[in-house]
Amino acid sequence: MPKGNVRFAYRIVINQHSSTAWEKYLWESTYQEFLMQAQLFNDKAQPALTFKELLSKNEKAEQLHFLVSTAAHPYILQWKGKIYHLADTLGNNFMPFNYCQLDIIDSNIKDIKAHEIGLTFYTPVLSLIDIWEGHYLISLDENLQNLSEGLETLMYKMQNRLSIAYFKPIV
Amino acid sequence: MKRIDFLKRSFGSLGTAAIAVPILAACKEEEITAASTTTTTTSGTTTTTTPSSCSVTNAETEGPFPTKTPSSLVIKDITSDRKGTPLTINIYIRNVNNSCEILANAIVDIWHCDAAGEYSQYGGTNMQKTDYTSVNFLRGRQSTDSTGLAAFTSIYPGWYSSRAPHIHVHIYNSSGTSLLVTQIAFPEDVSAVVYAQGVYASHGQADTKNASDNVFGDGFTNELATVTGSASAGYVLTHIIYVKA
Repeated sequence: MPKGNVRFAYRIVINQHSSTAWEKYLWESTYQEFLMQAQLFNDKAQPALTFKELLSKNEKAEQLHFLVSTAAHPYILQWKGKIYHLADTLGNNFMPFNYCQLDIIDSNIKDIKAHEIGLTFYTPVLSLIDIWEGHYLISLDENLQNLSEGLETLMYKMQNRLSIAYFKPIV
Repeated sequence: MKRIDFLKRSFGSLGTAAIAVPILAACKEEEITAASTTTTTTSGTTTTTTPSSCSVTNAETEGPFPTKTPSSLVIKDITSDRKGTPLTINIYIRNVNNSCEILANAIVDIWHCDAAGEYSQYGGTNMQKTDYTSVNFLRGRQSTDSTGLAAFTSIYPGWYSSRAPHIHVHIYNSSGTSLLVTQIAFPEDVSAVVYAQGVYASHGQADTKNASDNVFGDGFTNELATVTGSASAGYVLTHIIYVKA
């Protein structure tokens, strides 16, 4: 893999099995918001039960991804720009993020257990120096021009739901 | 022999395999290694293997101490970073099912476009990633007080093509059940003054009158707000909405 500037994307899924307090608050809060906002798009007499069913009946329900994100926003702010579920190999350096996007995977107005959301975090532009043994060797320094003089680096393991969402090779 | 092979073979002769398998499946591949000197003990219905060496299981990071926080919609001043002529929005909710009395503790959501006619976030159906520190603009939620009032601080809405100027309102009861989705219309003489000045001027006058609007066109007398004030001092909108609660 060539060296380059990258933006990582990391997605966490929050559902009935999520265990941390942060995830549980977020799960409950976004479900309450879903219940309220879904009524904007749903048929009063014969409401669709699930989000997917609602989407198929009313494509404007796509707005729910954003509308429900308003309930997640305060919790995302609590992370203060660090993805606390994505530590480096040392275990205490967390990938930074400056963008976040919520998607509703599915939900059900009669059953909170069906409520499942994805949160995708996007890092600022970082430098990918190499890939070693299933690990990304990265630098938080965006400027790779002085690589020959040495750079502070971090190593993150390749894993599910960790992707590279932007790449610009260094030539 | 790898431990996994050893265990697989062991399970062949054990009736308890189904119980132990989910535990194994949760292990990562590289963790399923143990020296051939390991010993296996079987007691009751569980099988455990003692590796020759081990380290503490990784702690799952919870992040900073989490605190329960209301939706970012719950704000009174919904202006955010938008520029425009100040508008105080006073919405009173009354109950048709209770002799038109005021309705306290109703939840009132409002949203409207900015001076350029843009809404916070959605324009198309594509989801957008957003700067996590930025909040919504011109969207808010308040509960009515003991006088039935939900009050917001905002700017005078702009307009966009083929719609008369308006504010969207969604009223819920205190438990979040929808009571009414409606819109508030503006007096055209006031809008004309606002759109001739300030950040509104470059966008020009609204292209749709209330009477020809596809929402208000069927009659808007009970959707038309009272708006007082001036472009220099700002305006105060007062409006009563009747719901069945």
